Amino acid sequence: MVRKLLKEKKREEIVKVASRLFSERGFYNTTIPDIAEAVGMSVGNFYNYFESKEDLAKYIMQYSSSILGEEIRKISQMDVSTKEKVFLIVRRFIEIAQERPELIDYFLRIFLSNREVFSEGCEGFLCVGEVVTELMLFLEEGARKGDFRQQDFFPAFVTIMGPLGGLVFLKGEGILPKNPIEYANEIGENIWRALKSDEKV
Amino acid sequence: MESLKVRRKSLIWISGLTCNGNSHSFLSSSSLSFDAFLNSVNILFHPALTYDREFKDIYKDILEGKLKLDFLIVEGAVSKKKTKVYFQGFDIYEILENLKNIAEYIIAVGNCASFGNFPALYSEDVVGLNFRFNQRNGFFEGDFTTKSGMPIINISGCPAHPEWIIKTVLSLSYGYDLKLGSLQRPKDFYMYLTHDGCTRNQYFEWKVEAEEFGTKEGCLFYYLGCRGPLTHSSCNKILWNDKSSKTRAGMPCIGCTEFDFPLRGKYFETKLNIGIPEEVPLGVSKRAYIMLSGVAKTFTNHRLKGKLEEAD
Amino acid sequence: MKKQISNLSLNRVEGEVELKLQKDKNGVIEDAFITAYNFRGFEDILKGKDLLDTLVITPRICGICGHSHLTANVNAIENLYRENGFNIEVTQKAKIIRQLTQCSEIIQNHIKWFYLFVMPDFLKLDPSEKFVEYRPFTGKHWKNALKISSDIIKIVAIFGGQWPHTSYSLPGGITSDPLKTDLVEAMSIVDSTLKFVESNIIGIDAESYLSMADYQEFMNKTSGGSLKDFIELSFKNGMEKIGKSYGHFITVSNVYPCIQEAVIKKKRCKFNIKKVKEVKESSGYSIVQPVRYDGLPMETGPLARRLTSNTDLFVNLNSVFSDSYLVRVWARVDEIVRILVNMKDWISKIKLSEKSYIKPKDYKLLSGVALGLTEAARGSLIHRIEVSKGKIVDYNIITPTVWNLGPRCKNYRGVAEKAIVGIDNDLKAQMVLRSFDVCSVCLVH
Ligand code: SF4
Repeated sequence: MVRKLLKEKKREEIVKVASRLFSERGFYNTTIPDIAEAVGMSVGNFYNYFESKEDLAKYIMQYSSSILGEEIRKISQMDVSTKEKVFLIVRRFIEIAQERPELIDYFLRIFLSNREVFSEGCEGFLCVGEVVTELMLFLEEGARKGDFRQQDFFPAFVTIMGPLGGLVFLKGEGILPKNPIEYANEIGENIWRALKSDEKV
Repeated sequence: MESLKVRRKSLIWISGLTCNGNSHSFLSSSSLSFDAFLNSVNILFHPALTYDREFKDIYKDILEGKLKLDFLIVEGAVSKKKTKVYFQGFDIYEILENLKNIAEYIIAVGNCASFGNFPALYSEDVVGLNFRFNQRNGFFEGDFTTKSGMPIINISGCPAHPEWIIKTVLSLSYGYDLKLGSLQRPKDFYMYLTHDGCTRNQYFEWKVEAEEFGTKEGCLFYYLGCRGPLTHSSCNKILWNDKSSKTRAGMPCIGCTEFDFPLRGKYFETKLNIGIPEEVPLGVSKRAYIMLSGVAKTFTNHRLKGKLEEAD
Repeated sequence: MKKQISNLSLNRVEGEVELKLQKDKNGVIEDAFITAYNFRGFEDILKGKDLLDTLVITPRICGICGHSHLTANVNAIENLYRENGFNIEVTQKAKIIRQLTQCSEIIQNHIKWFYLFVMPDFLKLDPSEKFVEYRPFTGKHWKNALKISSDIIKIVAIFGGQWPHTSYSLPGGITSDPLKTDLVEAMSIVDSTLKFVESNIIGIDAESYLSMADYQEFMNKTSGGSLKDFIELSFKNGMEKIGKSYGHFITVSNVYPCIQEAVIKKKRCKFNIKKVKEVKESSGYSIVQPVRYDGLPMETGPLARRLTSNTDLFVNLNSVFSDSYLVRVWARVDEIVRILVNMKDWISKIKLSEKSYIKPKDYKLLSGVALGLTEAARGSLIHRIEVSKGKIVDYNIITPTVWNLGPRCKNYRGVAEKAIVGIDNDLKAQMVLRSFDVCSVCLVH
């Protein structure tokens, strides 16, 4: 049990370091020895945790997706209005982006730009299943209650993810004048207004 | 030899507010089953079949104890008020009251007799035998039981499948006790879902959805309203007219064996919220269903891509 | 002496019907009143429903002619598309299959009705052993009839999934996409049913039967069978003399090549839907409103269809025995043959490469009024829908049974009521009523 926990912890550490390295240098310019060195382990030992660089790359995606998915699920299950949930999800997302910038950077700079790495075993929603599932459940429930307007899933999905991705990107480029969290309410309001059904305020 | 002869069980079939679809379903059974039925069961009265005796005489004989009554089959909804529904000139209210302690078994055949169905939409006092939709405030309330100790047995469906009717009666005549579900339907038929055995199962598994009617390909669940995974019936196990089923013929299951059949509507489209089905297959959470279908959708089953005829 | 009144509750009919007879001192029926019970309120239930949902609801008006309700319903919606200026395309394939399955339902109906409802009446008139095979439950003919009617109805299951109560036909076509082997199976069922009809009912091959122009010729050529038994029994009991009504007939829709729409009053004329009117007056004993054509009561159903289609045999029968019990029942039996012989031809014309369904525009765009007409087992069926943005505002149904068994208006008795007046025997009065193939569930829905 302890062994297993320790192993998990190590994997997390590798994820943290590797995602930062990948985002900074790019997927192909980062080697396993680079990662091993940054973590402070031998290359041989690295292979006890991941079979390959691709394997690690996919794992990082699943890992971030489950963290984010878990957060969305918690908010979804809270006893507050759909509108408040939208605001909470936005806020939480920005917070995570600040706490774990490497994960979001990784998503934007590696996952979206190096699709060939993810073409097997990570295609479609396979590695981001949790986030997508939780957002589906959240949107479905909102629409069922009449809070959200009926529409197809994908327009609704990008309405939420688009602004968040954009904000993080601007932050990464260093052109945001204010701290991202200060924009949370306005973005929340924008997303809510875009999704809400006509009767809602 | 005489001692080996088992007394044929007796049955009368009465009808309330009905389209007679269950009678016609029953009469369309395979001749093998129907013969077996006639061999084991003595139909004292059925409104479409009996010619030599009038209902009033048979009814009188039963009330006076001259004839034993094993099965009272009721087709159609009834009313909790008197003088609303008639059968052969008698108020069905009175018939049910008089026979409730005489018949060994009372069997509600079809959704009208089981749950009230469409006729119950028209009037508050129109009910099934034991249920009005899913409430136990039908003609007989609460946990009413007949002489045999069994509650009202519901063979739901609009109409009920002939084999479900015939085999229920025969099983009881042969002395098997039938396990019933919460809506008092025999588990033998209603523990399955309509989905079980549908020829479109692979399309369901791999989330290949039919977007329009009229094809052999595609599952009807996601867009076309199919309730197969949400409906208790063995329609795809015991085929209709020995041949097929609605979903096999490209028609969505409309959930006609369930109490809420007339309450639902929008039978030909699936209720989606932001593209996600509001209801998911029985037994799984929406999260599980969405996860799994997301995964299934990611892969392609090459057999299911084009016309089935072209697949290897 | 006081007038005699008898109230008869009928069995071996579809549903709950009461026949009230008023007799003179010699026991001759002076007047007859038909009352049907067990109103279910379908037209009210349909109000406010989604247009497409009606396809699931209206077949459930009647367990024996549900397919005809479905057809009338689909026709009404397809007409509503046209009224709204939308093109609605239905392939030949879908049209033929719809007709094939509906006609299977009609044949199923006629076979059951003849053996289960009609023939047993004669057992009461003639209880001798001669006709034991017609006895319910035990007789060979009775059992065969159930088998054959269950066989022919399999055609509906092959194309529509199940019978009773499929809604596989819908605006734009049908839901199924049959295989070649499905066609072969349907073909075999038609074949074996036709064989049965030839050997057990008409006692001669169908082609020869259909070429006959008068009844004597039939009686000479048939080798025997249930139709012959029926005709002999009818003559023996004077059934060629009773059961006559107005001699007005209506058929509102075509089934090529065996049924032609037309109206017969004094002469045969074109059917004009505008002349169909429900009389808004209460008869005092029936919840059904009478329907009239050009103010006149009309008989509808197989006999009407034979006369509006100018079938020689029936034009002759009608000129000799008019619209008596004998002729009316015979027309129903005759229709089994006439439709069956065409079914194989229809099947052979199905082009499987055509589409089964062509999706029409969204039904929520539809508003206005439209009619759907069809010929059901018992005759002309009319659905009238009034729709606003894809929702039912009003749904009105005139069933064949309303034409035949509906009550009197201030000028005329109902068609069946008139046919019963003058009879001096309760059983025969019931038989005449049954000759219309009573369906009270359609009458009161
Ligand atoms: S069509 Fe309906 S019953 Fe058939 S597989 Fe799909 S969901 Fe199941």
